[in-house]
Amino acid sequence: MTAFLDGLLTALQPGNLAALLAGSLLGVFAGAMPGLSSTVGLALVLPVTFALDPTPALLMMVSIYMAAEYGGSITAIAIGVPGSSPALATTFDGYAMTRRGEAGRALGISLFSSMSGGILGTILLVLALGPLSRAAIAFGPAEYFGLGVFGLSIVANLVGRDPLKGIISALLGLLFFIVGLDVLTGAPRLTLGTNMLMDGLGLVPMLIGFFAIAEALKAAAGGRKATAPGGGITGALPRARELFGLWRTILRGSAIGGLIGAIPGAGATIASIVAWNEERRVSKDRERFGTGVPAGIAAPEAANNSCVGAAMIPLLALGIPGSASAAVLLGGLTVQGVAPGPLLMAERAELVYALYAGFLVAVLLMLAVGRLGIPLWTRVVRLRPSILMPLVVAISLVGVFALRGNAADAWVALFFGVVGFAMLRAGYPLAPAVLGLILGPMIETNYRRALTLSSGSHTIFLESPISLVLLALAVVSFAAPAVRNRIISGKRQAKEPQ
Amino acid sequence: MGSRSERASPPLRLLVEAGLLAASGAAVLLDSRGYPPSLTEGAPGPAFFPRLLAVLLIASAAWLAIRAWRKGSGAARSRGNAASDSAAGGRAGTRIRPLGVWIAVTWIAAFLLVWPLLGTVLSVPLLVVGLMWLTGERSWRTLVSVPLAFAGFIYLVFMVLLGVPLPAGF
Repeated sequence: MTAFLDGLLTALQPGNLAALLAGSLLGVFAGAMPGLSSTVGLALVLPVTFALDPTPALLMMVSIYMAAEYGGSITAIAIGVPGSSPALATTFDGYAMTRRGEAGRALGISLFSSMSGGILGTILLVLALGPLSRAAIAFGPAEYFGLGVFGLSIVANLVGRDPLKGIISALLGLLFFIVGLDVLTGAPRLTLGTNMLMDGLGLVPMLIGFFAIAEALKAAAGGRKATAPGGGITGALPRARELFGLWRTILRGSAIGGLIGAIPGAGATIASIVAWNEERRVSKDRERFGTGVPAGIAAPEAANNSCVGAAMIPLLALGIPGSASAAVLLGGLTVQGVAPGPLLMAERAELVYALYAGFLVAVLLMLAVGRLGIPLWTRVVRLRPSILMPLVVAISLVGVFALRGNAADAWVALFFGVVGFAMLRAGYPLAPAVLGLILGPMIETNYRRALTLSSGSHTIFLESPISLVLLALAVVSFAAPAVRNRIISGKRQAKEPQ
Repeated sequence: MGSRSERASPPLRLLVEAGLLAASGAAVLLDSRGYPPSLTEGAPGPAFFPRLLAVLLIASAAWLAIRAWRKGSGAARSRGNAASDSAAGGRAGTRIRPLGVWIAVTWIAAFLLVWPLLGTVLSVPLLVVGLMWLTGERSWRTLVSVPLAFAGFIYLVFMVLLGVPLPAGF
């Protein structure tokens, strides 16, 4: 406790506090800009940190990481375009609330849930650094395959009234991920013989295309009749009672985020989607999910911010980055001469405790920055669609270019914009396709790796208890909506003759 | 005047969708013939997953075609109303201006072509002003001030403050 208080005093020194505040501002901005993300924000600031001492440099980076996860939800809620991929699930209910005129309420719920998730993730980091890092490295190809299939089973809850079109959408998403070089053999697949597609289509260009450009095409299709996101949008914030009433949802979301975030490579996107789906599954109000339910925002936001602390567990304990952002953070640690791993706590305890405390201070600064920004964002939402949509497209294309400095990504975003618009017109839901693109690499690569290890025997998936449980959960999750619908329709039919 | 897709009968539109999906599946199967075999005996190679997906896509397309055939226009009325669609604002079946969509796509494509040549500061306002016009903005003051202010924002924040190497033009 004394060591933690010392760390807190270190984090609160003026120079360190300034670094944390700068990180919060940049993080919220990077997260909110479609195309940018915590990873890009961290990469952009990395050269700046070279000139700083290790403590402020690392505190600025953790602050960016934390704030960007909340920032992603801002545009997801305000304009229906996830600022970063972990905010995808937040669009489901967040944008629906904005369309109802409740942007301020939705942003307030997101901010409070992000803050709570961030604090709980940090507590998890402090308390479970050792055991969770050991559990995380128990994940092999079979377990990752199970996790991927479990994630994909969520498609069953996203297909809507036409399961066939939802399944086709998921298949298309899985096919989109095939494009590019095969990870295991280096063979080009579906690249049409061009070098441009060797790197693959990418998740961010797909999100930009589906959620920003397709929406702009809809506005262009409507011409002067382009519809506004909602009438009478207010910046009214949620009441404290409503926020604290979400504590169960936030705890569940944070727990899911903490567990998945600690697994290297799983990431905040999967955690937030799983959290949204689990919340929907346990809710009595599950049919209303996707139409603007507060818990539909709180669960994914708590999960993706909880992931930030959890992703630090394998990074600090083992030197294994749990996400792309954690990998950039690892670069920052290395540049500062800090070697993460089992000896870190023994050699640099003061820095580790300053980081722990820094996370908590970063969460509070994120709360302040986020709260001050809510009126601005609700004003943005009130812009006429004929102003808002073109700006969204332009900033999305600039952001997607900035991601890798690659013009091909902007073309891919345009391609997905056209595909997304056509899919929406034909009644195909977009979320299963995005889920397919996110989970496809995890499923295919680990399926093949597992079978390589087992010389082609599928029993490897059943021998591992973790994999077995995840696959069983996947079957239940996939079948549950159909079974539930059948039971409900059976009950209705039974009532009708009376 | 409705578009061709609006005039087409719903089952026919579904049949066209099914045909496109089946053709996509067939194209994947054809492409996968050139993939190398697995490096390890017993483990699936790079062709396994694409072929599996292609077969599933063709089967789904066939299901879609059969459904269109059997249910007629009733099937076409079914609307994917997944949660994500409400988030994305997806609305199938409302009247659209196809010309507006094509002009918007062409405008964005033209922007992507000239962006490296003209640079960000010149080309971004052109993109914004064109899209604003297409989405119904007619106030000249807004059409001039918003794109210019936005270009200034992009220049200051992305290029100066963050040092993002956006195309600077000739």
